[in-house]
Amino acid sequence: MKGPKKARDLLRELNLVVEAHLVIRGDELVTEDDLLTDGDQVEIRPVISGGSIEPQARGNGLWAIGKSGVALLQTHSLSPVANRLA
Amino acid sequence: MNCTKCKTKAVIDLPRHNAAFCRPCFTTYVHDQTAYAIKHARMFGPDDRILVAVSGGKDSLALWDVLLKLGYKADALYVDLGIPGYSAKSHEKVERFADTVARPKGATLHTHTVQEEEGAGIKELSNLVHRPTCATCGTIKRYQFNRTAVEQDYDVMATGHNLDDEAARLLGNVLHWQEEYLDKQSPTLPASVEGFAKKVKPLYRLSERELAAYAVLNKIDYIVEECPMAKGSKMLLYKEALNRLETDSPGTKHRFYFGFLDKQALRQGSGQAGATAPQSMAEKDRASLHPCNTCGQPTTGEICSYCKMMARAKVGK
Repeated sequence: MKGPKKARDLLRELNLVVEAHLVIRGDELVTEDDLLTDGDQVEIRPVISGGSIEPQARGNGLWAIGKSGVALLQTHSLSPVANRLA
Repeated sequence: MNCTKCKTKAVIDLPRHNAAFCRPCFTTYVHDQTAYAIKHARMFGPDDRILVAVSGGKDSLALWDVLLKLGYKADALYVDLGIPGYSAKSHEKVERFADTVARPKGATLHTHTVQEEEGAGIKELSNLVHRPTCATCGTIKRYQFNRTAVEQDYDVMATGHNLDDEAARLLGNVLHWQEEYLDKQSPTLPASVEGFAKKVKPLYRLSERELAAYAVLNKIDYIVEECPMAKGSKMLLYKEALNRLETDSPGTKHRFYFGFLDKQALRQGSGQAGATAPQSMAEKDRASLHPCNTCGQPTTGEICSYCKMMARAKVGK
């Protein structure tokens, strides 16, 4: 998917529940209505604790928004990049 | 989207409150909600000594942070479970928080290492006693947190359970009609018998998303990855179901859990027509608990589940 795109729409398109995730750009939180643009890298961070399923299945990790679409760069299970951003 | 209070740019929206907050106003909101919970549920006072159960996750570190910022005397206990690739990382997060935030405010971090006292890591222990890892972990943590709180004269033990934890647990108990567990869902559990510490959940008014946001906004470095032993947990399934409902109908989790607390208070206060007024939990505990023959902690049997487990582990080695 291409930017500009609202954070809410990014989560929906990745089939992620808004209530269970934070979207983080750099070290700032992004609200549901904030626009993500081409070139942005955002971390989608799960907030649920008390058990886990495979992070890849939940779309968690570091994502890049681009003209040709969105790409998963790193998941939280392998998360040196995501942690560095946090 | 602008902050509901000060009209500057918001960093988080809270649909269940029909509000959005900037960073400072959101931090104030979290502190106010916690302070209200402490007062409303009569958890502790300004002079009480509090032992916070910390794991390295967002909830427990956020709780320790909030209590210290509200001016409470809050120390913490970390239980090192010896989970390869996970415990070292969570321990590091807790130590870093203690060094940068807690110790400068005069707080103490206690550490209990399962490998040292119990003689094996959690995985090996659970294999020895033929119990699920999460059940073994729960028994050890409950025992060690209570023991430290009692032996070191803390007035109260605080855990980082949040609104999502309590709503999911309530859903699980109701789905299986485990009515006997419902009494334990109050945010304040009294020190009902000698040897039991008072237990409180000061974050029960705040959701997981709000606490994760608090941690990010206040630069609390917590362990994002889930415990590898907890894969496939039923609690996660309940939380995901509730979050789908919450997204479509904001306030669902709050209404579910707080509606239960209101009804529980009403039932215990008045008793219902045609039904026996329920005994308070303290009365039930006093009637059923006595000291463990081995360690002296309260138990319903002759020997507590922790001592039984440790005896089985020794035989299995």
